[in-house]
Amino acid sequence: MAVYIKSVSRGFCILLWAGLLFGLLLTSIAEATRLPSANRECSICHIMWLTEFRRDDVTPLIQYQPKPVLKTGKQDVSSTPRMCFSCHDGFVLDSRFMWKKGRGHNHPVGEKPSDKIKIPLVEGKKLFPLNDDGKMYCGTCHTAHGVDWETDDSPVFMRIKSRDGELCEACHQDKTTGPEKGFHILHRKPDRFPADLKKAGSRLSSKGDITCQSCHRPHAAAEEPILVMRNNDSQLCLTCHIDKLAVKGSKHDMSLMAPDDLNIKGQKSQTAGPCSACHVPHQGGGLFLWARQTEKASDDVISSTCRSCHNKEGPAHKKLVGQYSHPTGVPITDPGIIATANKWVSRFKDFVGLKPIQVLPLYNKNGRRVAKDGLVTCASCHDPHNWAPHAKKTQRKDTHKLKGDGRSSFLRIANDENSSLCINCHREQSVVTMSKHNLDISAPQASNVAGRKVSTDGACSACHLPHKGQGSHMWARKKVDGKQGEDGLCASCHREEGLADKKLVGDKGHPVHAKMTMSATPEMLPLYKRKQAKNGEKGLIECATCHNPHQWDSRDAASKAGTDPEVDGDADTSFLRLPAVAQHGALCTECHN
Amino acid sequence: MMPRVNKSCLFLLLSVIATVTHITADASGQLQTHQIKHVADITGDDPGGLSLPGDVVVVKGRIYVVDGGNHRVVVFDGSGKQLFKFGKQGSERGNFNGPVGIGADHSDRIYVADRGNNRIQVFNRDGKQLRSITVMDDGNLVRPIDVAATPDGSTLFVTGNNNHSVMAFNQKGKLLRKWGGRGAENGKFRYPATIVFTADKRVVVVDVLNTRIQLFEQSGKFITSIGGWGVLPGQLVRPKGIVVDKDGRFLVSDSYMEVVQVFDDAGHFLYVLGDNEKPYRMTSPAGMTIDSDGRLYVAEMLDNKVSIFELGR
Repeated sequence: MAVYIKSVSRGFCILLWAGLLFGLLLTSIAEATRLPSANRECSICHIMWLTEFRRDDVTPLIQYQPKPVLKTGKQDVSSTPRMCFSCHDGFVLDSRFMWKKGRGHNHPVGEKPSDKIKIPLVEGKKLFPLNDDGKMYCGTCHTAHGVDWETDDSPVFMRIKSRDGELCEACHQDKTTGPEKGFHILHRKPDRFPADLKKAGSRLSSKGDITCQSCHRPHAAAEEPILVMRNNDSQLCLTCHIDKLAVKGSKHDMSLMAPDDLNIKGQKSQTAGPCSACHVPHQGGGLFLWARQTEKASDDVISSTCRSCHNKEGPAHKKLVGQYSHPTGVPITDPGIIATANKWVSRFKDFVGLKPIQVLPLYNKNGRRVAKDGLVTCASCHDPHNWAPHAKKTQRKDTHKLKGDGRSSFLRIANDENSSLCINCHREQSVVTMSKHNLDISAPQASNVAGRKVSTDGACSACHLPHKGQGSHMWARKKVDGKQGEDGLCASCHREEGLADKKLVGDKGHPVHAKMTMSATPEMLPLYKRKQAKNGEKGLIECATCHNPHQWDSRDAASKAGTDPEVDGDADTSFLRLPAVAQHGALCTECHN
Repeated sequence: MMPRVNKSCLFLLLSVIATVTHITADASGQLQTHQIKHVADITGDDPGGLSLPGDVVVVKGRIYVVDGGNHRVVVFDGSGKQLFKFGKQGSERGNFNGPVGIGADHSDRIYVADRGNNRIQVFNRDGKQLRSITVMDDGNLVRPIDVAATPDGSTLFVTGNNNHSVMAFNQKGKLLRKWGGRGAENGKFRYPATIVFTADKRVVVVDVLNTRIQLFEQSGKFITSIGGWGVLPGQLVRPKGIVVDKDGRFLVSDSYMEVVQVFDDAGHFLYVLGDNEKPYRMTSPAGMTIDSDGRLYVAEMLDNKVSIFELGR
């Protein structure tokens, strides 16, 4: 019995020892499961791969949902925001800015890509996969696989290296076509990269060029469409385009002047910012990314864009240029300017004291700014972003009541008492300031049809208005009833009780507004066409046929003799185009030979 | 004869039972839950309120919340009324860059792990900055995740995000000792996160990607670990916050499974907070604390709030 007991006890002990060893083995196995294995490392994100979900004897703390239907569609849990945040919450990695309250504008997920999106194919498969519903999800751009984690080329597990915007551009191919197609320029060094922009999350490429991420950030963007900073008041645009800042608060600030006006994308500048009234960064019209519907087949895109507002039905219908306005789409060579890259030269000699010529912008028909052979457009005289020359800011309390004059009105050069803007190009006519036709000398109290005086708007304003003129030469004077053609303009002053009532032509003067009956055709004297002149019909003789109203002495452009309001002219001065006595009576013999 | 044999066998029998029990206790039977009662939410008064709060501490009735998304600390009274806030985004004195964890000592000093600025900032209870300690290891800046101060504030235990270590600093910021390093073995870490003390001064560290809680002596000597990888009761996926209640139980928040599990002092799974075998779901629960009345505070990051619960008995 004792032997039996001893035997049983020994066997029992062996069994227990075996059990203990088995237990320790299990313990070590259990411990081993805590060491990272390939399977476990995968299931850190691919948690639904865990076999524990299949156990019947115990309830997992989360449900088995290999491909749950989320707001973003049906997809593997490994690439859901919930999974991403479980590490990117600051405790492991820190991408909290992506989830931060109020900074939640992200690249869309849970949506199908639009028709404009072209996802590249690699061996027949989409390089950027969509989820089971054909929608974008985190994993469309990101993957933990297939990229080198140790380099900084793909620091956020992008599916392709994207240091220079390659990933964005791979799908958004339409956005890469540049200004020629109406898209904001890419891959060019910016003029400046403001600190505020950088702080907001803007990025340049590895070469320092503009990329998609210079304006957009895919996550935690400040505003839709995933912009690095808010742009409801064009803050983003104007951070870089700081020289355009003065448009805010000006009469071209459509968010103030016409807040409900829609641009070509249907945006209101009230909500899309002042810049959006005229420009859109994508799908604009032409080089300046125009946001307005311009005239088809226009020979001058720039001016056409201006007219898209400044027309009878447009938001600037109160500011029309009128039927008779300074021409646009005309070459700068017309007034005798030879334009080179950074310098303008007049073929007319300047008299002493004239301000140097400033280079103003010229454009080709497509709106590209050109130096040579450029056309004069609205934007040659006007800077639509600056209410007054050299103004850095426009801060008006009541923009609606603001009235323009020669020193404002978005002019590039103040058209001051010296008519500096007009004379910048019209150098030949500048000598009018040294004559009695400068009303500041002969009739300083006189006003033109717009009620403006020469003392404020310059000598040219006595007879001409750049917009809303009274006739073909943009006359600033009302023609005298009964007087026809250009004669009527001269007679507006040279008449009884007129400004020049001491200088009347009398009843028996040289015929004017009359057909040229002489056989000779004057080469030096201009004739003027009737409105409905027939082809080949000779022009009419007008006052300006013999007189050049801008130059007192035809023989000496710089003569200041005409500046004396009491001086009397003679047959060689008197604004005659040619001397009537000197030079063998060249004026008369030009026709009466 | 018999007594000697029985003694030996009894020892072995108990050993086997204990071992097998240890292995299977975490994953056996129905889901054990422990009822809690939601008392209140703290969301903040400012426009927008709290943003991604990561941790919370209660000091003499005042609730200090690390408002990580707003780079500041917001202070509330016991009723949840906002009292004041301190700090904003920046690297200047008193400002923060992505703060995560918070702690306090018995002198009411507040310690904030200023992750992005690689420093621990120390404040008085009114938010006045007292000093700052740069967290460095072998000449390299370390991103601190959490800080636990000894009651007298003489030693700060800091978890390091990029050196995967626990560092002990004195008041002047001198590194006294450190332990850990990246790895999965006992005593090593993969992203150590929140850190607290037990009543008997053991150091408790959440080891996020190793999905466990590790206990150490203050010298750094490894004692044991709790939890393990998995989705079953007693297992962890993304442990983030930890707090020790007055009975020595460990409450562990899991930000992916969105539950709080409770382990006994020996590390055995007891239950998950919830009711009728259903866990109470929180939204990305992270840092936690328990006040003197036994109420549990949980920072629910993606819900931008701190939830307050009464723990049932």
